[in-house]
Amino acid sequence: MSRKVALCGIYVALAFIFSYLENMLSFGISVPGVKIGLANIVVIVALYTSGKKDAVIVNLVRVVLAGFIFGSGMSILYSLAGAAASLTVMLIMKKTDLFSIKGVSIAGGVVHNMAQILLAVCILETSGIMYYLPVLVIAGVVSGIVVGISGEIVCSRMKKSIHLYKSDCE
Amino acid sequence: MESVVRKRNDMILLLAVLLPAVIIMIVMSLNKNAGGQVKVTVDGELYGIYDLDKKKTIVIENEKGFKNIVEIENGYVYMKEADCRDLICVNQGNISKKSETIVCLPHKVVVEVISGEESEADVIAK
Repeated sequence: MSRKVALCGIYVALAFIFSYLENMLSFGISVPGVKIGLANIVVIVALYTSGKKDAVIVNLVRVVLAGFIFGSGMSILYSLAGAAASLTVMLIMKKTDLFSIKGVSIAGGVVHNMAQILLAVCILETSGIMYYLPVLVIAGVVSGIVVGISGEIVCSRMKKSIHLYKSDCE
Repeated sequence: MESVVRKRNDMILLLAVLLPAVIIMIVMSLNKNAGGQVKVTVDGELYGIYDLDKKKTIVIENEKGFKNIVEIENGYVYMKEADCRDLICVNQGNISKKSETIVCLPHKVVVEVISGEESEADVIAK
């Protein structure tokens, strides 16, 4: 149990650092909402090595922490919507056992961006920004691939080097 | 499940998501009509409609101290200045085609190019 708590702590700390890094590295990308989503590497690794409950906790704690420190009330809402939607889809996708980590994280990335744009449509009360949907879907796919490949590598290394209570890594 | 099957499923998923997005993007870029007017909305409410061919500087300030400067010049519209944190709206650059938008999420400012066929009466009726 204490091992698991420690692992969760490490995940939260890592996810938090990744959020911080991503916040610093503003690439001047001209479309709102396009990010690599480095913190999602941690979330997906947590999902595969520690189980769904821990993944949900890590994700929630990360969003709230990073949101309060780097963002505003509005940005917490956006990240929460994206994180909740993408994690829900990733949990379902993983449960079906039809996809690898990459597939799961691609779906997560796409759904994350779609949820955020839907929220933006509701908040801004304009459908004009749906214009960005194709770009954001493609960005979600790219981010999902990057996160998926990294997650896969981390996951298989972790399986070799430390004893995990649960491991769905290949 | 076999990892080969998983890999195949991954590819199917990738294509199923990517293809429609790419197709829609291509169709959208082919269908780009020059716009005639610029619609500015703040917090979901219409702020103003401006002609794209008249040089104009629109300063949007609200009670919370937010400030955005929208500039219309040579048939283009761009966000000249904003005091938001990320400046994504400023980085978005020039837009001029119908249904292109500049969004400032933190300030809830949306600048959208419209066809310009809307008459004054329509605007008032809204």
